[in-house]
Amino acid sequence: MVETTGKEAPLTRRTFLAGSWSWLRWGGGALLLYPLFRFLDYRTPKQPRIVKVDKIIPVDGFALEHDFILFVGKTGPWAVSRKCTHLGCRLNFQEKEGILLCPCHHSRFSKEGLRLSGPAKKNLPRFQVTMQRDGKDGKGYLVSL
Amino acid sequence: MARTEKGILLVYKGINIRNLFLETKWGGMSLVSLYLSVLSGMVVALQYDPATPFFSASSLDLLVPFGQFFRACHYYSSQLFFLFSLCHMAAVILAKGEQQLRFAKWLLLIASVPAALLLLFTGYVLRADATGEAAGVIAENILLSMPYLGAPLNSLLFSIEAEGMKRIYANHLVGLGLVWGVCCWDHLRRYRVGFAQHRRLLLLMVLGSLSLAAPLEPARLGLFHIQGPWFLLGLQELLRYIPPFWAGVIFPSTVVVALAWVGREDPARRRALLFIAGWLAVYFLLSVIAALR
Repeated sequence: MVETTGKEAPLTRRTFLAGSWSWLRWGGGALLLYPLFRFLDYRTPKQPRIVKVDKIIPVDGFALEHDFILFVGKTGPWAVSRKCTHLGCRLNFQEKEGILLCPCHHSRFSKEGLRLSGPAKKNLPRFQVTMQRDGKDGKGYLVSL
Repeated sequence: MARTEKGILLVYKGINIRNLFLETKWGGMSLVSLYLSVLSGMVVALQYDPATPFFSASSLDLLVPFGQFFRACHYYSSQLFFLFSLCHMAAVILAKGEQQLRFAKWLLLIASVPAALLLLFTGYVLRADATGEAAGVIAENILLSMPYLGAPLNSLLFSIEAEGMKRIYANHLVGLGLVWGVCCWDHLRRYRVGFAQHRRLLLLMVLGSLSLAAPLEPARLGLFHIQGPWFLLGLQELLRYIPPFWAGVIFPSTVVVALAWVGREDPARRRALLFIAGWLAVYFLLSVIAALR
């Protein structure tokens, strides 16, 4: 396949108008992107999620859920997000060291969600936890995400 | 190894490696791999459900009759398509073939490289195992780190956090393929490549897929280290040291711009090639460090 670069044609009224028409068409096409991006950007409002952890966790114990880790200390239960504040990978709890570790870039957080080291710059969000004791829904914890 | 008028001549046991590389039909092999990738992808799509991605991908491997074969076929043919495309591009650059193209056409062909990479990448994400899931959220957050353009681009390409696999699936199935097709249409309509011309490659891919399952990480708790796809290992390592925008957007963009600049005449071409060689060396080193972790 050989395509040689030819010499450019001199600018005449005809080529100028043809060029302008081409630019107008490109501009019109680009304008159509605005409704497309508005359409794509819309997020259907979501209701706040309440997740139930259906077990009683002993003091100094924890429960690993999909979106959060629930800890129970002497002062009561608390939940921290499992989403790393660096790039969103799912954190895991390293019991031996008592830290939350990101498997992607190895950021570390304390059980309370405080950033300790690594490329993450922010602490982990904490979620509200309500303890249920022998209610009609049984024992456990309600975590509001 | 000897230096000649035409550059470095690599000879091993009497075989001129440079000539062998230039004469290998990388483009045809890439296209045949793409045929198989598209066909097997269509079969896989008939069973795959983006609402339950990991369950769906593991069911393909464990439950669906011949599911493992079709998924492996799609995986390996896609990998080979991308690798052969890169070799094709390298061979064209080595033979200065791009100098015979108009610069705008060269730009369009270079734009097909990120499109092909994204096609491969979205495939990784769609399997939704630990690696796929992590790769998806990382890509989303890298895009979101871009000022102004990041959020709309993320809405267009990924939006995993808000929409799950919905958009990434649509893009893998149609959108990115269409972009790649538009970029390569003019180039491909000049060539006719049939399955019959690459029987041995086809046989290799089919036999390979029969005996080797495509990777899928089993779900397990306490995962403390994830290694990204081979082509993103260097990026994963770089993200440890510098902010996502610089590591994930600027650094990869520089090599795409340099590739585009190869379509210019010397000395711009020579400088671009030097830059690409340096970039590849750094990326390879980063990938090795990431692989050894």
